[in-house]
Amino acid sequence: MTSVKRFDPAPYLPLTPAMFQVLVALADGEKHGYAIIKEVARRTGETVRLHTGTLYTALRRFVDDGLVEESAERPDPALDDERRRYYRLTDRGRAVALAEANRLEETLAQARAKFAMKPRRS
Amino acid sequence: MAWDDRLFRALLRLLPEEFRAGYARDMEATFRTERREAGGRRTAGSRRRLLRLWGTTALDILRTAPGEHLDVLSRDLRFAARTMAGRPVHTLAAILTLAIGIGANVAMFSVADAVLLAPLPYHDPSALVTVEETRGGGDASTMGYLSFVDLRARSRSFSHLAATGASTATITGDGLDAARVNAVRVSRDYFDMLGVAPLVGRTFTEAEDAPGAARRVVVLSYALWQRRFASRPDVVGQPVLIGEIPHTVVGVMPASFDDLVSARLYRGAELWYPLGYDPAAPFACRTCRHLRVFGRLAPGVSPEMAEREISSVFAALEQEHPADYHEAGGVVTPLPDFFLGPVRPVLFVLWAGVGLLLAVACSNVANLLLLRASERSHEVAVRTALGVTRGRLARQLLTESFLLALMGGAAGLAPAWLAIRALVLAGPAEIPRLADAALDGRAIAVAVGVAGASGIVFGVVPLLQLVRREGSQTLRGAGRRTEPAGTWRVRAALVAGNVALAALLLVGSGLLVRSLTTLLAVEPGFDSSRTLTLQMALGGAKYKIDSEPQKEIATVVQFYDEVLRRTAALPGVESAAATTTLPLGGSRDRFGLHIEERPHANPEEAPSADRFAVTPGLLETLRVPLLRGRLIDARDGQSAESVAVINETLADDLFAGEDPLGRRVMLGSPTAPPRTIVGDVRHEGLDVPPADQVWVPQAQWAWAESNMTIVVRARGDAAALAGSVRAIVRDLGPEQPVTAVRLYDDIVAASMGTRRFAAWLLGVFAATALTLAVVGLYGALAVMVGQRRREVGVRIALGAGAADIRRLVLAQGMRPALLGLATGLVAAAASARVPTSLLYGVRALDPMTFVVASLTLLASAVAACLVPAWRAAQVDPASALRSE
Repeated sequence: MTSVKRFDPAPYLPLTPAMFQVLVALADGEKHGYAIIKEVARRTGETVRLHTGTLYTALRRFVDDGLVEESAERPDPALDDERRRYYRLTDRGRAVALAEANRLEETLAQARAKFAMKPRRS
Repeated sequence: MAWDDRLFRALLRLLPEEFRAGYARDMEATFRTERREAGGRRTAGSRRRLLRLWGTTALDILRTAPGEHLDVLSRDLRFAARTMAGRPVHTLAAILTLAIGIGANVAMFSVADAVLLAPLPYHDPSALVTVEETRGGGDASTMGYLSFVDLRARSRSFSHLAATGASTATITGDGLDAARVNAVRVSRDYFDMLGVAPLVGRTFTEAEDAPGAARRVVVLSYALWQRRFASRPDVVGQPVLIGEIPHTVVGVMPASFDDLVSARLYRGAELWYPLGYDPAAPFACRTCRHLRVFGRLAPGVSPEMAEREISSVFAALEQEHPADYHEAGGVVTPLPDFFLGPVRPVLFVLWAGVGLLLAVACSNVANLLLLRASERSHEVAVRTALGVTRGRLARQLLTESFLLALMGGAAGLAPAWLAIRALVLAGPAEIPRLADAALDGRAIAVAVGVAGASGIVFGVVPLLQLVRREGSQTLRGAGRRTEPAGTWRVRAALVAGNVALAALLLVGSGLLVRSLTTLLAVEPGFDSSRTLTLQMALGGAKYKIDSEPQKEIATVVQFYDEVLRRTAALPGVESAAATTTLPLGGSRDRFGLHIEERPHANPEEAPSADRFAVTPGLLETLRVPLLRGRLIDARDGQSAESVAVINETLADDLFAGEDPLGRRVMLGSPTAPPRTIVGDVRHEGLDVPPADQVWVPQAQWAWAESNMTIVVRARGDAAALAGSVRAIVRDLGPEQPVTAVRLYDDIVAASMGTRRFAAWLLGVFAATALTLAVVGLYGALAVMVGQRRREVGVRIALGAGAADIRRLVLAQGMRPALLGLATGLVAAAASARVPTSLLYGVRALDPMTFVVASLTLLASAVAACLVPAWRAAQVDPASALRSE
């Protein structure tokens, strides 16, 4: 019987805000670089604006660490730019993103308790 | 391609090649889309958006690129560490080799930094100069007091001019043992000239730099203040007995004050007096040239301008006082040149030596890495086939070289520290500020720089070999453990280079060693073996009777006579005497010498001679051979006829072909009492042209010579007598300290200190370079034999004998060795102009040295080739062919 080593996301935490946003952007499916930039800008109301340098250095690290992988699926060639690469989260990447989200949630809860803040209604 | 695509692509070049290979195209696509979305350049608004996009993107790439490069470096370093750990013997050999080369360079830099590069510890040291007087177009030297006074009054080239003269001080009466300390007499603005302020109190005033009681003030060194005065804060104004005469402390110099002038000229100073000369005193005369003069140039004045002015002042003085000057002129020398002039050639030669040693070390490491490169050629081929670019490979290999070099540099710091300590302890006293050499931040920075440069130097050779080859060729040949022919050529070239550098060092050190042995073989005209020397300076009211000079002479002579009588009676003592200066003792008393029947129209044209005032038996104690006449003995008392003994050189110079005995000469001035020459001795010096010398009885000198060096020749161990002689002196004069107790052999050896130092060090470098070159040759040949095992096996199978194989391997090894030797000898001959001042009695192209160096190298090279040649002859052809 083979034992499956349980993946521990802790060594990858904390993520920088930009890196976390990239993982979140990939949570709902694979995207190319420009789509990640647009998704992050839209979701954060343009408060977080990724640039190519930050985005691709983050992607490079995620790919090297096995948190993100290049997708082999391509759209219709008529709509495709062959230079683009499409990225998707791996299971490890998803685990790291969730772990970071939990970490941020815990930090936020501590801050709210300290400052006796009420949760903001969204 | 549009210009904006080109521009973006150029921007991407800030990122590592590996990164660009994976993501550049994607980034270009993304950025093109972003530019389109920004709206292009159609409207002012879109142009602004576009500009903002370019700006933020460029800044973003600038910000993130260093991190990527660091990531690549980190990966390369980890890979390099793993690679090196996989070949520990290899790695250790390379690190140790580099440690030797880099460590030696760091040690030498520390010495050069302290001695040559560090500015003098004075305010604006570039303005400080020495001022010397020349006579008859001869060597520049010391000055008389009245000349100094006139110079100070008339010259406009200096903001300060100061004179210094040797002195001693015996401190008594403070509850501690009498102690003799080195002291210097200085004119009033000596400290102002140097630009140093006292820690407490003040320095001398104009009123104190004058004869009489006013000059009985002293300034203390920090060390003396701590040691003798317990660092009392109220020391200023306190009395101190010096030679039993009360003086007043007026100031204390700070701990940081480094009186290099005194260190260079007077063996250091712990106490300073004012010069305070009486212009009418006999020793203040213009021809009593014993003062060293220093100055600070006025703003805008160069040493050349000052020298022209000084010379014109001396010319005017010669007009006014024709009997006191003869073709007088001045020489102005920057102070650093004065201190460092004699030692610069030595240090440069040594620095060149360590540079050559480092080159040999790098070459050996390059050879080691070549072997490693051969073994990794398959790995490189596979990686190249998988798409790794040559640039990426080169970067990785260079990172490995740098890591190796840095490890070698780090390993070299410990031996560098030890070497610096050894150099400081064993270095000659003539090298100023040697004690300041230390392994400090600058030296460590040099270690890092040298290591980095070495990494490039030895990393390039195997790198070029590795990345130049076609990957497919290497893949095809990967099964065989052979190197291409070109690799052996590179190896051979490295070996030849090593041998050439070793030859250069061997010749250089050989010349210095020959100089030293030639110097040591010079018959100095005296015997310093089994001889103890002790310096004394009689002081105090009992021995300083200014009002009765003859009584003073008698009292001083009586003291020394009694000391010597008791010393001679000690068991183990063969003889004992005393002299004012010791031959090769480092100081000279020069006096003009006038022949009674041949007066000079201008007395300044008379020659000078070294004068030794001695007690009876001194020349016998030193075993100076008598040529004719007699030596100074007990008859030559204070009231007897004044006599002198001269040396052969003086006899030849003044009385060529004539018998000097019975002739009469005057020392110092033509009006001095004439002395009859009673003896002629052979006495030369080492290393310098023989000087004219005259020996006179202490009792017959014009003033009391109270500072004498006692010389004791022992039948056995001279050092063992020191305690007994000290006890005798203590018994006769408890307040009279004995200082500088040394064996005469040590004094003579120290007089050749710099030569010995340079010869020894360069010899060490040469021996190390030779060892590294031999090891490199052995290693290269061993690799070649290993690589060509199959070929050797085939030759043996086809009938070649063991002798043939050995000859083949020997020839392969000796070819680069002979080429290297020839190159090295040519280079040595070409660099023969380099400091011949270090050579004595041997030419720079000395055939014997070249022959010995060549034979040494050849023998070493043959020895290095023997083992690989023998191993090659032992190859079993069957197993050699099967293993392929």
